[in-house]
Formats: sequence, C-alpha cells, structure tokens
Amino acid sequence: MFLEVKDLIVHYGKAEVIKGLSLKVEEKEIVTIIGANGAGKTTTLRTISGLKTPSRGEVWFCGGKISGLKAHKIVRLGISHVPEGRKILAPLSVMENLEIGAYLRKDKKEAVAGFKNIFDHFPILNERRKQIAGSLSGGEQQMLAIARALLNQPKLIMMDEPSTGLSPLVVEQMGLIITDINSRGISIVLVEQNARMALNLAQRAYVLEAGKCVLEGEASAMANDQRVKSAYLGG
Amino acid sequence: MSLGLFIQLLVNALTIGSIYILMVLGLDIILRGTKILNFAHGQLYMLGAYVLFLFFQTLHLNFALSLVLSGASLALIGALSYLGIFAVLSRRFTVSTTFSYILLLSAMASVGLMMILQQGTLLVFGTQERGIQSPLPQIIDVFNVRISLMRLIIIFLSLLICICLYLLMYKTTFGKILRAVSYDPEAVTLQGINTSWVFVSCFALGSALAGLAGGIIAPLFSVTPSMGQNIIFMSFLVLLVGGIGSYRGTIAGGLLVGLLLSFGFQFMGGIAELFVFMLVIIILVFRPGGLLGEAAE
Repeated sequence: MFLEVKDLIVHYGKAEVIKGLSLKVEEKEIVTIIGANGAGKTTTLRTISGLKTPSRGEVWFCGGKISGLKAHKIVRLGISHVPEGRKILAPLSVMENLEIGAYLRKDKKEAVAGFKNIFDHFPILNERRKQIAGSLSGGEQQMLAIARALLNQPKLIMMDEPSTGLSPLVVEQMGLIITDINSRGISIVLVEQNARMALNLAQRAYVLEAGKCVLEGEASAMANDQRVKSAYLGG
Repeated sequence: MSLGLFIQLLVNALTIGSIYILMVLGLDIILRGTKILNFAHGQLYMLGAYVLFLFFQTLHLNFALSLVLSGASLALIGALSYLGIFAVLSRRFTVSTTFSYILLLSAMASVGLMMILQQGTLLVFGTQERGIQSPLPQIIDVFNVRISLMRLIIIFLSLLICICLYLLMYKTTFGKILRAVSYDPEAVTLQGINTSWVFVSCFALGSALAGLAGGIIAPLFSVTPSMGQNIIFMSFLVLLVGGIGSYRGTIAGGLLVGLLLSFGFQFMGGIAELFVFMLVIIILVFRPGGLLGEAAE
C-alpha cells in the first residue's frame, strides 16, 4: 500500500477532531477529501505530514510507519504538504523561497536542474524571481507554493484548499497544473471546499463529516450522488 | 562648541552607537527567530568582555584572535543555554498554547538564565573591576583634533561585523533559512529542514553578537560583573525605537541613541538618560512600530 491511514484519532486540546478515520491512496492516484468547514480535512493532512501527532491510529507510507516521525523527516520520505493559506515565505524573494524548497538537494547541479524544470512549467515565477514573494498575486503565490513542494521531489503531494481566494479562471489553471503534476507520476491528495473542481480532477473521493468518513468511492459516481449534490454541489 | 569637541563627541556617539547596534542585532535575531525576549543578553555581553580579558590580558593572545574567541565562546554558551533551558521549555508548548503565554514564559526563563550567568560570574571572578590594557592606546591627531585610535577601531570592527552579518543573512543558505524561520517555522519544517537546529543557531548567533560587543568595548571600559545590567535596558530601548525586525531600523536607532547619549552627557550630565527615554516615548507615540520596524509599515 502506498499511503494508508488506519483508525486515526486526533485531538486539539480536549476536543476530538478526527474520530476514527481510515483512508487509502494508491500510487499515481488523485484522491480528494471533501467536507464542510471544521470536518477535519486540514487536521487529517497535518497529521499525515507530521505537524500534528495522532492520539491513536497509524499512518503508513511505502511500507513504513510514519506516524510519530517529525515533519521534516516525513518530507524526506517523499510526502510534500502545500498547507492551507499557502504559507509562502512572504518577506523572502521568490528565488529564496525556491532555494529553501530545494534544501534537500545536496547536489548543486541537481538543484539548478530542478529550478530550470520549475521555470519551464511556471515561467511567471522566473519573471518574478527577484520579487518579494509577498508581492505576488494569489494565483502566483499558489504556484510558488506548489513549485516549492515539487522541489522536495515528492512521491505524494497533499494540497490544502489550493483554489481558495482565486478567480474562476485561475482555479481552472490550477486544475490543469494539478493534472499535469499527476501525469508525471506523483500522487495527489486534494482537500477542497470547491467540491465540483475536486471531483472533476480526482479518481476517488472521501466525504468527511465531523471527523468521520461518511462516504467514499469513485469521484465520478460521487458527483452524481444525490446526498453529495445537495450538500456540497449546490443542488 | 568648538569643532574639536564636536568631533570628539561624534566619535564617542558612534562608538556607543556601534555597541548598541551589535547588541540589538543579536537581541532581534533571537527574538524573531526563537520568540525569546532575551533578558540575559546583557550578561552574554558581560561574559564576552570576560572572555576577552581571559585570552587577551591573561593569556596574552593578540586582540583580533581574542575577539574572535569571545564571539565563538559566546556562541557556544548561547547554544548550550538554549538547549539546556529554552528547548526543554518549548517541549511544553503545543499548538493550542497561546503566543502571549509562550512569550511570557520564555522571557521569564531568560531572566533565570540572566541570574545564573550573573551569579556564576560573581562566584568565579569576584566583584572587583578588571582593567584591560588597550591594544591601541595611541591618540591620533586629525586637523588638531585628538581622537583615540581604539575608538576608531571599535567603529570599524562593528561596521565589519555588520557587513559580515548582512552577507550571512542574505547570501548564504543558512541565513536565508534563519530569515525564513523568523517568519514561519512551520513552512520551513515542511521543506524538510529540522527547525530545532535552526532555533539553536539563532540563539547562538545572537549570543555571539553580544559577546563580540562585550569583547570590543572591553579595552575602553573596565570589565565588571554588573556591566550587563547597565546595557540591557538601553538595548531594549534601541530595539523599540529602531523597530523590531529591521536591520536598518536597528542601525538608525543605535546611532540616534548614541548621539543623544554622547551629546546629552556633555551638556546635561546624568539627566541625559532620562531625556533619551522621554524622547523615545515621544517617537513611539507618533511611530508605535519604531522608526523602520516591521510594525511601522
């Protein structure tokens, strides 16, 4: 199994926010987790990437248990997390953000090749590489966050609400970027409020409600499910 | 006021100002990187002076080497203090710990460190003042104005340290990571970087700057265990007036306070310090974020 989350229970203080969640991601798959605000989507991602320690349950990745490891070690195993709100380093330049993303590449030549690859895919970042990252538009910041994650050379990228605050046109562009990354053989876990976009992109989907998975299955089937339609797709 | 007096006061102002700048750059790096308002910074400065006394006066090494050793020893002392106190403390913090609680507890822990270093120094070196023979006692004569060569060297060395610090922070990966951690440690962790070591490095670098400041100034004043207490509050003042999170602000604040103190003492005597505090309050009324700090924009 590529990524497996087993019976996860996570607390924030005394509040139980994830109440026994299990999910699986196969290699080269796009899986989406949808659900309302506060359903536990972000916490699930934070627990997988090691920013949050689970109270019970386990996370396995490529045959090894990763729950309990520190976040920086989990990145090294091949899981990159593009967090909610993008978390770009606003006072640093675009190039410095990318350099920090490429920190794990000890070979300088390899890093330079990595930057070239990024600039081929995101020419706008090349144009703006000397600019302060905080001065980029929302869409450009999201690209920078994704580019930085790609420089970690991940096998799996987890994206938390990449479409938040972006115009419909840019959201569409983001969809193309996600498909493109996936076509390079990288698995994707996509957490979205924008369920329509997410179900279009993904092969499989999980629906979270109050820390539990209430529905799972093929994304295309899910898009036609009456319950999902009324709850998340606006009728 | 004669031109000679004016130039002498100006040189004095720049000397005091450079020391404040080194102190406050260290305070600021520690505060932003590790969220510790370091009350022990004055004691790190004092220890820097004692280390210089040890190597330069007692062991007769040359001044430059002794100074480098001051910085290096304080980096080590800083790193050990961080690992022994603040790293242990930070394990008690979780995501739900409020920021104000973290700030308060860390600041209190630094007060503890201040007392340990202060009393430790008293135990080892006693209360007596230690004089250090100036490595450059010459007085030079510029257009009939007599200026102490050592003061010029102090200004030059401080400038050199500032330039090195700039290159470190903006041109090396290490510096870029330090700046990134000051902004958002979690985003840095997610790039596969072990931030625990970055925090240790921040504290060590800030402590080294305090040590260098203490070492540089040691030949000018006598070395005493209480020298740290006198400088810490004025350093906090410079940090506030310059603005937290701005190197240019720190330099402007250091120079401003240096000028006010130097000229103030000449014309007002001891009341000059009160005058400086009042002036800073007035500045903060109009610019609460300091002259050039992050909050000023």
